[in-house]
Amino acid sequence: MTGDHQTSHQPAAPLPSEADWLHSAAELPADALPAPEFASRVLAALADERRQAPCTRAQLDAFAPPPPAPDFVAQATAKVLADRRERWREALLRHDTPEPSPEFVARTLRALAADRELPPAAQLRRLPAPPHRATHWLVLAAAAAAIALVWTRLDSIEDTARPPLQARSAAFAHAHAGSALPELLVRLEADFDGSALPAVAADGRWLAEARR
Amino acid sequence: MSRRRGMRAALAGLLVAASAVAQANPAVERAIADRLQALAAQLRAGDVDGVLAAFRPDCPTTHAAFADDLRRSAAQRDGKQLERATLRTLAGPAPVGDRWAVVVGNDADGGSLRAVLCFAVTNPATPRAEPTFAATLPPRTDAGAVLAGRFRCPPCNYELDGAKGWLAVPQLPCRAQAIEGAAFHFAGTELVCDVGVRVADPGHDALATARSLGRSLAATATAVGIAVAWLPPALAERPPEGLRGARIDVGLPGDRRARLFVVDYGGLQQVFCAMAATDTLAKHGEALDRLLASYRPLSTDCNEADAAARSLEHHTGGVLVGSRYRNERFDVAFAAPEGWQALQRCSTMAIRVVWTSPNGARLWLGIYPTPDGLDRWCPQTADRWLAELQKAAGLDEVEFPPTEWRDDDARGGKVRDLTCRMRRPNDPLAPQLRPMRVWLRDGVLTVLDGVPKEPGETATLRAAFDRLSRTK
Repeated sequence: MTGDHQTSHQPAAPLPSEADWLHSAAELPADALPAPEFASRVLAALADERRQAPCTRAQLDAFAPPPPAPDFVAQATAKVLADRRERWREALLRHDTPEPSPEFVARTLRALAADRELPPAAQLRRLPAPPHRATHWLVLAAAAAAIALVWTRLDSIEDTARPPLQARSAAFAHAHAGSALPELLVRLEADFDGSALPAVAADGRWLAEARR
Repeated sequence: MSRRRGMRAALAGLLVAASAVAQANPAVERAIADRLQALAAQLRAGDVDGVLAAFRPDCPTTHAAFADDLRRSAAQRDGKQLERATLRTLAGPAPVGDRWAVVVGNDADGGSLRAVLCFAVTNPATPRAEPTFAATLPPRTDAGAVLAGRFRCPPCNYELDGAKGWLAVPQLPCRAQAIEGAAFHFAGTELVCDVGVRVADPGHDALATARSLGRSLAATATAVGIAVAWLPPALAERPPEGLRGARIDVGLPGDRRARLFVVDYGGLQQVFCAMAATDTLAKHGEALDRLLASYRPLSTDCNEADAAARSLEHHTGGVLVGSRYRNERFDVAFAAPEGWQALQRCSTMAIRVVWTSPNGARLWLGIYPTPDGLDRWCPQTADRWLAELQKAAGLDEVEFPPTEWRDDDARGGKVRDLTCRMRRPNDPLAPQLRPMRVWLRDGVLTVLDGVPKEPGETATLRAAFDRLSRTK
């Protein structure tokens, strides 16, 4: 096979000597040769690249990390707390408080009226709440915030799988109703029986158009 | 007690009629009749856009639905039906709030298509009637009750007895997605309060349903209130035993608001949804209270299971006895294997019964009557509809080539078996293939759909499909 290959080609011409190369280069036009500063520019670029390259692992291992600043922990904790406070605030903003009942309003007004009837000294004594009551209020507020947060999280987890209220297939008859209630009822049914096919009626006109 | 209520309703009807007569104004009636004739002429000329442009809508969402109806109706029938359109007055004109309302029937459609329209009447000296509201009504709607704002359903055991200024617009059954539905419009405003009747979820009271409604809206809501116990005003002092209620408020984008109320009684739930701009709801809050105050159950002597079953039988024609379901209206019967638990879950146009086997496998029977706008189901439309349902449920049909429709020699009609796979299964360890059977006969589409719980149950479910039969 090798012999066949060799015999199928003409013998190769010998390479020109160094003198011949130099002679032929001298005969080339001036613009065919590289500019004189070409080599220096390439070398400079390579040197730059080496300078900008990241340190090697061995170089990095030669350095020890600096000790944390004295206020590092305090600053980090403050940032985490601020972030949490902001998230709670956003979560709570999503909820409206229910309207107060008439009984609640009446009771509050009665309590305020009773306060006004007290002598000034007694009012002053009632103003600062005893420490244990303040603690109770704090605990209650924290519990309310936690419940609201959990509630919001539950909503967000469940709603990721749901399309927005308006996103309904035009094949479903209730997509052409001028009301949101049918879609809400469909979602209630889906909450109850999520594995089932959607409990929806077909839109006859849509089907008739799809058949054409 | 029901006789007294009947007399009261009749008296209220007489009062409304007397009030309409007393306030009848020949000049106004003539102006409205002229306007109706002009609208009918535009319809006959195929000028649907012209008809819609004549409206100054009180309620943009209702008007958009009416416009959609009219455009699709014109497109589907190539305008041929509309060429002979006449708008014959069936009730009214009667003053409702600061509008004049009239119920009309389109004779070109055999009189079956009905609509309610409202007009703003200006310039008392030479009245001019400007249409502000239109909504399609189901066939055979009681036109007088629409104008009186009265809605009554003995099988569903409730009524709203006509609050002043409200129109009662029964919903087309296919659109209500409920056993029954109606929309109450406060005339001259965008305030709408929809009501839909559903079967109560086992173990879920009114408060749980209100919470679920809030969660359903959470993705689009700007604020979701907390569900609280609530009772219809007329029953707040002495509620019937077993009646529970709840409400929840939801803020919506665009400074809009929804107030949702749930009444749970006798195995059925009435869900009310009042939706409008926050300002509108605040301004007409008393009107909404009046509407809710007109709600009452027709009978307080009801057994929970019987009450729900009675309503379902009336609206769907189906009865469940033990694990056997029988629907004479659509000639469909299914006898589940011994020991399977059955439950009816349905709206009027998408009837559903679900069985659960002792192992936890589930089997759904769905009955779909021919929908409005379609002459009858055929294999092509049935396949198209099934594809939409599968898409919405995240199912892929896996058998290739797809099984063909074949004649069902035993039951008549045509039948097709298929298998689907969940795209994102809830339980990766459970069997993933889901058998289905579709049966098409006399314009009724019946779908059997099973979810096995354990390996090998797919064959059990397919064998159970053979228990589907006719009633006759």
